Amino acid sequence: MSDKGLLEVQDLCTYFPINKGVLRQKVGEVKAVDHINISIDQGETLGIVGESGCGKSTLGRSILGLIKPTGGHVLFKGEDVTNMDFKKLRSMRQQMQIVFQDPFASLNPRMLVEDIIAEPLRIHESSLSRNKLQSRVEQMLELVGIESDAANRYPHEFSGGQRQRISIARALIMNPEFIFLDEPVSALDVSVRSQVLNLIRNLQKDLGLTYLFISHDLSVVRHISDRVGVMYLGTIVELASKNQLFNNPLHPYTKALMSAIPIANPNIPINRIILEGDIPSPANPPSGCRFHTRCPNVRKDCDKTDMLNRMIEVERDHYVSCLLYK
Amino acid sequence: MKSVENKHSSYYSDVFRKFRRHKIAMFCLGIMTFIIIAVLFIPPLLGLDPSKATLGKSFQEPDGIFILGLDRLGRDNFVRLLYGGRTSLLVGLVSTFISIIIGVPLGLCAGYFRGPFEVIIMRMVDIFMVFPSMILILVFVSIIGPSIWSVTIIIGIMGWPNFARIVYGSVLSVTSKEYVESAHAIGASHFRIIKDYILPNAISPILVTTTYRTASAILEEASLSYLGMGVQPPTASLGNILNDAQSITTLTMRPWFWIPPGLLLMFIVLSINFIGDGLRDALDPKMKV
Repeated sequence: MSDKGLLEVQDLCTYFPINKGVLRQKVGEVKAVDHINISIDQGETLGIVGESGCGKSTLGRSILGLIKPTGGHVLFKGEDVTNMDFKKLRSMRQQMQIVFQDPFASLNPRMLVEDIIAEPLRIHESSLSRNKLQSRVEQMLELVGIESDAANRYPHEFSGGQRQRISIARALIMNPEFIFLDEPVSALDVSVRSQVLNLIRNLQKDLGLTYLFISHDLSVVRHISDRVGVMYLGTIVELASKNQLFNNPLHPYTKALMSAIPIANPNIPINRIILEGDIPSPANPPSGCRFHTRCPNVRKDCDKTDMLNRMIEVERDHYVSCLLYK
Repeated sequence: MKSVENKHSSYYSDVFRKFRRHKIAMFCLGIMTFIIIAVLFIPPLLGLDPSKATLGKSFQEPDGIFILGLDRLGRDNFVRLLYGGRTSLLVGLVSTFISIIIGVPLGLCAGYFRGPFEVIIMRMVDIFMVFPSMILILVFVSIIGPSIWSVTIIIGIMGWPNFARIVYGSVLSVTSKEYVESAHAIGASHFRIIKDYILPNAISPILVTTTYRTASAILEEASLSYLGMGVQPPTASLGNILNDAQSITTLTMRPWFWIPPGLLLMFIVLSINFIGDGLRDALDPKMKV
């Protein structure tokens, strides 16, 4: 992986304790993010796909410091974000932003759109005059394609797509470099989805943004990403450029995912790989390779060899965490 | 250009517009306004004195001058009714205010900061809630001694768990919303998050509880005074007026002794509750009336 990435995630772990009983003793932990290493270059989009509950969102939130990681480091421009004191983290927040999945839950219903968008400025540049503030808000609204009289209305007066644009405007007003997009289009109607996706892509081109884009929708990830990582039970099982991953998936889990993409041509025979069983509990993950309980190509040493942190570079920049490629 | 003041007035004018369309609430607001004006302004304007006794005229029946008659000591029942209403409103509002001052910050801390705050505060709430509050109030009143202020303060202190619990619950639900996380993500301080995100979104249950608590504080005061452990004569309160009307003769022969204070109590309590309902609906921006 390149060593001059904007964002370096090193051995990141986020475990949630499971407390039980009157004294709330810790009886175990959910390993939502388990020893993940990724790096994101300036201006690129790294897509992360995975099933619900595999730790995609936790990964993004841990990177931003919204959830305190249990271990590992996140380096943003070489600075360690994980051990930052609160004050420094707050100013770091100007450069790392988030757009949430549900536009109906991510905007404060009691604030006017103008205040929602202007709030980051009020926090970080409190000396700004009211006029300047207002013109910045108008500028942002124009940038995301919303008429400027929206400023004096409340979020509930807007549709999902418009709200998501407002969220994007709020995330962009401090001119951040990195944006974590947490399934930004999965709550939207299909007809609006592509508009918002294209907006996200055009903004990246115009402003030189770096994205971490999370989705469970493979076609959306394929549309927007430069590189794609596949997550399973808190670990990255495969990481490659978009074309490599979609044309030549290597990990058995990735292959199964790819085979599930519907093809809009009934004449092409579908060769689905049906995975057996349920996703194991992240509180008690399988030993060795996390996927061996459901893997169609499982071998006898798969349950013994610890695959955490072991990414095998099969071809240039195509990493897979699987014994088959050793 | 719109100023900040303008913006706030537009939010509240929106609330006011919605409140005005709530017919029952508006009606009850009318009743409450009438009651408040009556109990506050009629006695001083007419120079009425609740303790002034007309000698030799005890139990006089209503006539043109004394519209509710005179009581056992020859005092004007109507004037005592107005002063009783004053006492009730005063005790209700002040004690609820005390409950809010104690309960809301504690509930906020418990719900927002969690951890040890949550454990200590919410267990205290549980302890307070499992005791029948009327009995505790009686015990404290008998220790401190009954008076209008001791009753107000004790009812106020005993009311805090209601607020703490309701605030805790709504803070918990608001804190888990994504918009609060988005506030953390832009680097907002705890103070800003509580002020702009948590409190405005938790205000409806606080308001509703305020009205319920005011109503039940008024009832608690009336019960205490009725039992002789609340506001002490000669200060009039709806409770001790009803206490005075306990004899069989009064109950059967002189309904003007006890029907007006009972009705006044009922109107006050009901109106406050309905006003609370109207406010709750009006403050919800998603509610389109």
